[in-house]
Amino acid sequence: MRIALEIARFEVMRVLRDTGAFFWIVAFPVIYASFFGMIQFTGSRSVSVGLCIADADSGFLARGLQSSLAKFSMELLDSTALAEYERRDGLTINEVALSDTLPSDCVRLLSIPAGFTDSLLHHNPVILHLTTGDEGAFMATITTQVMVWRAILENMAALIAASSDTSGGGLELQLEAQRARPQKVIVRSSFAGGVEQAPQGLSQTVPGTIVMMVLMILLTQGTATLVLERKQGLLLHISATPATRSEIIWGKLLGRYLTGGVQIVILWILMVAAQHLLGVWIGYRLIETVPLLAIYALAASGVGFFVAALVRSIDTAVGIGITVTLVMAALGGCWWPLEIVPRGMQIAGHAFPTAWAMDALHQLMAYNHGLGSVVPQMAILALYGIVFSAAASRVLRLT
Amino acid sequence: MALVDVREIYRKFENIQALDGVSFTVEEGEIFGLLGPNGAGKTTLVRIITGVLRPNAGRVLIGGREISPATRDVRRIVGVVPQQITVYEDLTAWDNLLFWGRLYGLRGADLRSRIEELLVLVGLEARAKDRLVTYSGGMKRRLNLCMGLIHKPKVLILDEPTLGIDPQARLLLLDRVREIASTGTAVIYTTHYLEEAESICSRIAIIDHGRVLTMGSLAELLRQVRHKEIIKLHGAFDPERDGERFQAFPGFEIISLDDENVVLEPHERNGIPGILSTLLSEIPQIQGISVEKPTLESLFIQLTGRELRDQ
Repeated sequence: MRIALEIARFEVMRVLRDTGAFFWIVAFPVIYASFFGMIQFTGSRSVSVGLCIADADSGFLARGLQSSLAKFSMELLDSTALAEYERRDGLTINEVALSDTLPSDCVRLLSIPAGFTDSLLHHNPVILHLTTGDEGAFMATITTQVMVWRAILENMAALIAASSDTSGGGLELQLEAQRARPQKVIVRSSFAGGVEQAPQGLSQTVPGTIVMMVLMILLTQGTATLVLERKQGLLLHISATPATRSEIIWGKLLGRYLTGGVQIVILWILMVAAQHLLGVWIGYRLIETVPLLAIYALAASGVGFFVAALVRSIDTAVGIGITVTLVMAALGGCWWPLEIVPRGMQIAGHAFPTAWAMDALHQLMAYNHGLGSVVPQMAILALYGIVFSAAASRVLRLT
Repeated sequence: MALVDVREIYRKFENIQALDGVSFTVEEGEIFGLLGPNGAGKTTLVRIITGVLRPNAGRVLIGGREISPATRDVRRIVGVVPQQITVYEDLTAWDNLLFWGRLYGLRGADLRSRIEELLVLVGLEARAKDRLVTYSGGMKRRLNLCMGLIHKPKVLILDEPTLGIDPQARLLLLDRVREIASTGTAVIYTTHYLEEAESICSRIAIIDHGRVLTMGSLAELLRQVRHKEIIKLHGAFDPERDGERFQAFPGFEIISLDDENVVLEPHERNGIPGILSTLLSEIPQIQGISVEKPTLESLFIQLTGRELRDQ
């Protein structure tokens, strides 16, 4: 056992001393996750969407509308701030409201025309302009439209209720009172079958990158190293020392497991630091991902060691390593959430440990479920590790 | 009692009989040479003696105890320097030796002082902390020798340790092997370089096709060929047709014949001029002739029908 530990320690030391390996183990995953995380979505838990308001009316109904929008997590830029644009861009608020152009720094603009409050009080139709300049953010635009409609409905309902209120105090105060009352109808929405919304942005790419890159390192660098050692006669030479065959095999396997572990620890620390120090939302229950990732490292090192036991040349090792990693990453949900792919693809993906790992990470990080909810996935990952390690130890040749 | 006792070793790989009843013994402080061409069975024998391969029959005793893949304690007193250079090139010489020492259970100050001692022995102390990618082939070979010696083995097995290195590095390595043997270590030295075997081995076994053809001290081996010069003919031959023509002439035996070379062993030393005269007049393909005095090489050719260098 002592010799196996010695071999494992030596394996990890070799990886840590390899400056080239550092790029692939740490730098590349960080760059990859950040890039694709930003492309996909904001990664934020809230649905806060920026909206500029050009209020040319300033009546109490216009203010009420803005108050409702603010309540729906809209980040409003009010007319006071818009006055700055008025000065800078040379447009009056009324001109901004009636134009299709957007002031600089505004990606969405709701223009409330002058006379908005009076028109409504006199039962005349009014047109609100919602202009968007952020064509790429389709979801944000749809969300804005829904929020504007919700705000209008709330205010119209409150206005009708206030109109029939005979308690006195003036319409504006009655309207405020109506809006402050608890809603009589609340809509709770959910996905059928208990399915939750698929994670997006960094909540998807960070766990996906960790799962993929750990597998890639163990399947390419780990496999090529073992093949080279066998080709150079190092394994045979080691077997002429007091080390037994099983000590060599378990030492090498443990070395790979610890290499995966080192990578996971570094990426995990960066993930936690990004969330807690930089305020980048990545997911819930990051502490509870540690035991899960430790078991995933066992499965990945087992698969990697099995491939290493089968291949005989470095070119084959790297080629197979990359191919297997990409297939397992794509079908296992590392690039996009498995929740959005057809049922058949989801079932096929679960032939690989990556899918079980991503399932479990989503449960913890995206859906905020406890560690108890991922015990089945952890058991399956452990089984992958045990089965592949045992198979590799049988087929691995030292010469 | 011999420190190494190799008894009737047989080993077969599919249809190839790699070792066919090999036996010999090696005493403390002795350098025993295993001389044979590539494919003779030397490396298979080394693997069996180092305990990484089991024979089909026979056994190897080291210090009176059988060695095998399962006998960890016996392997602990054997050091091996394999034919391939087995070093981790991404690490330094120091790190390599540290790892190898730990495999033998060495730790701490003992291990460090042993590493320093070995690096001085092979002249690598100034390069100890350099990565091996910056080393020459000869330097790596010297480091490989250190790996076999890190645990002060009682038996050291060197499998073609000078393969591919320059003459200066070879001389240094041979000197070190002599020094190691002088401390009482039994050395088994496999090579296909005759001059190496002649220069450092106290006894030599000539091995081919898995069998020991002859064995003894250099003097004993040379006595077997004392009066037997050999005639080497060079030219363009047809082995089938010219074989029959050569056999028609009296006074010699054909040792070997291929497309370019014919080796003959005259029955009598004073018959050589007559043989040469006849052959030159009768066989026009002959382009060159040499008559060689009895050497270990001529014994090897006589025994195997092959030259070591041509393998």
